[in-house]
Amino acid sequence: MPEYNSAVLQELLDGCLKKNRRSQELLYKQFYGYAMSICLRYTRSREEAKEILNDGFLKIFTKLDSFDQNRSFKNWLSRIMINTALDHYRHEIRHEVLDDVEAADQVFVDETVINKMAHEEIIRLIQDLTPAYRLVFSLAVIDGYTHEEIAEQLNISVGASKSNLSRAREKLRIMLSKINIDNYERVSR
Amino acid sequence: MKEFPDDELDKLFRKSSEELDSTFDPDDWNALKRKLDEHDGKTPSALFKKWWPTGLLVLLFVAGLTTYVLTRDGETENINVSRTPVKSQISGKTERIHSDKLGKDAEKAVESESASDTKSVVKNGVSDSIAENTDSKTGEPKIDITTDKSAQKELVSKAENKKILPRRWSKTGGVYLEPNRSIGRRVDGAFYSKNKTSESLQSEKGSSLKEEKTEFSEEKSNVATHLGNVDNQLRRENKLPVSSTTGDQNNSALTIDLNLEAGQNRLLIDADLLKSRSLIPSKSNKLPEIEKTETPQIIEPIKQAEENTSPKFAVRFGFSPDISSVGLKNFTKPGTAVSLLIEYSFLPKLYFQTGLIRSSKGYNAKPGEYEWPSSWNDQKARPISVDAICKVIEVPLNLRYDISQNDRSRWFVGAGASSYYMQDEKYEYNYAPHTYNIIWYEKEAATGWYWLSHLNASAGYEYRFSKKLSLLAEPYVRIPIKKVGYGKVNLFSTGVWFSIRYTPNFK
Repeated sequence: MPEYNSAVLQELLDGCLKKNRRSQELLYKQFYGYAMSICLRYTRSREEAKEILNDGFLKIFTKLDSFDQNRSFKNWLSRIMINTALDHYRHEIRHEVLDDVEAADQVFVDETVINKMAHEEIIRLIQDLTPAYRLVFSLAVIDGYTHEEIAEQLNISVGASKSNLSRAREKLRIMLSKINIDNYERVSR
Repeated sequence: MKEFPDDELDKLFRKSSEELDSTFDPDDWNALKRKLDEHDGKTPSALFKKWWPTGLLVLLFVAGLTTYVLTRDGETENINVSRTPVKSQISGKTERIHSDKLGKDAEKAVESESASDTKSVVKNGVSDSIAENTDSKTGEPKIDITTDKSAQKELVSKAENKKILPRRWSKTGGVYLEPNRSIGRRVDGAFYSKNKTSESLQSEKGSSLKEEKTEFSEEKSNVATHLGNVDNQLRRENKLPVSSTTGDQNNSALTIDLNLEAGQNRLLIDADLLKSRSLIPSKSNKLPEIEKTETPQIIEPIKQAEENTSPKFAVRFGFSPDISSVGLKNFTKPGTAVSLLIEYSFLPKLYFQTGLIRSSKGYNAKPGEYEWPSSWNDQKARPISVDAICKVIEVPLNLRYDISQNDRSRWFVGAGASSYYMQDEKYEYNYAPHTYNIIWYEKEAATGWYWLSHLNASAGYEYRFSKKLSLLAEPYVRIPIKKVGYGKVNLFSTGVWFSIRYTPNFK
């Protein structure tokens, strides 16, 4: 058994394989925060993230027999959550039109303000992106997918994937700069 | 204030994502628990979802069976009710035919028999009425049809209430070839004639039969005379004993039952005797009367039924289990299919059929049967099998031909081609244990239209339980001629349509 799957986790997984509700609840609680952080950055709202989270856990509990226990459960869970989010995106937001990024010559961000921002606020900025930008940014920057993989997953070209990532970064910079401006105005008043 | 480079921006969001830890919400677990219960079939809705196709099949079967039984009973009753008066007329006339045939036949056999022979029959107790009404001019006996009115009424009511039985059943009256038949009981008579029959005809047909009554009476008395002649001749030749309750039943070839009520004659004829004698009626008989009066009443409903079974348009709603596979093996759990089809008859017995079929096709494909996308080649590991569940909309273009048909049911065959629209495809990839670096565990896709991708063939049975509605059972196959879906598989499907067919009346 690999060291990253502890004995406690192994016991929980065995219980889940027997469809034991208590084991399933404990596993859910243990990985709730981690799974939710993934789902949040692929969705627009917390409610939507909850839906994907539960769909993902349902897959985990029903397909647990296909999990290779010699591998990291956390990575498997992460993969399932991302795939569930992508499925959700394909279903719900297939025809959404991409926003054009506002023209911005140069964007300046105050580092001290950013340091004071909570993680939730920063993740909310990702949620405010359009779905196409949000997914490309999350897949490429946070989850380490290549542009080829992203293109395949989202059924777009590699060029479109690179372009979307660039525009997503630009959009985030603009949002961060707006936070700076708002914060400056609030302090100056 | 400084410009924010890409790597710093990425680092900021990566760090926030890793360090974000959402607090557990018990409501989320409760929601998931409900989903798990539903998935494991522990809720009523899950049970319904799991069993509704089976339930629907059972309901259709029970409904069909009930309808079949009810309509069959109703049909039998209708036949009995509608045919009773006709039958009484036919039976009366049939007796005449048989009487005529037998009478003439007997006349040929014993041409020189005298009137005294007739009286000897009377002495042996054939019938008092026959004996007492011997025609003074011809010397032939006549049957008295007006002697006892109350007895006549009773017999008429009995005749009217008498249930018509199929020909194959015993004790139905008429002449039948059954040698050594018991004659001890009245109901076992082979030829049962009543001298009140013409009276019952009169009550039903009215005055139009008055002339016929007289004629019938005369003919009947002729029959009695001839039978008497035959009887006497045979008796003289020691071939035919006159029957009585203690008579030798086994040796009798042609007997007249003497233990009947007054006014009833019964003739028992041996099969061998019947076979040995000609039953061709003489030219003087008036047989065409029967044809003229009865034929239209019997043929007319059949014509109507034929017209009703040949409508131009029909609509069909059907349900079927959908059994799909790749390469005629590895059949998995059946999916379901529902159909809404319209049919148009452009030639007699030939229909054009089209519509929509929505089906859920589940199948399992092995590596050689499933095309691994080339863009997935960055994953070295390959699945050992793929489980798929595809929602498919099918547009069939079929021809249906009725190979045999009667007023209630028909057998048919169908053939054609179908186009598939792959509406929703879900694939799960199964890997061997200890397979690493797996990227693709599952895939959802919707690859769209595959025009004329399958050939159709079917055969079925249709039972019509009303003018507009009928039930059908139709086994079918879908044979692939094109590969379909994300994995490009040769998807074979089969099942049995259980359909209800509605035939609207366009005026």
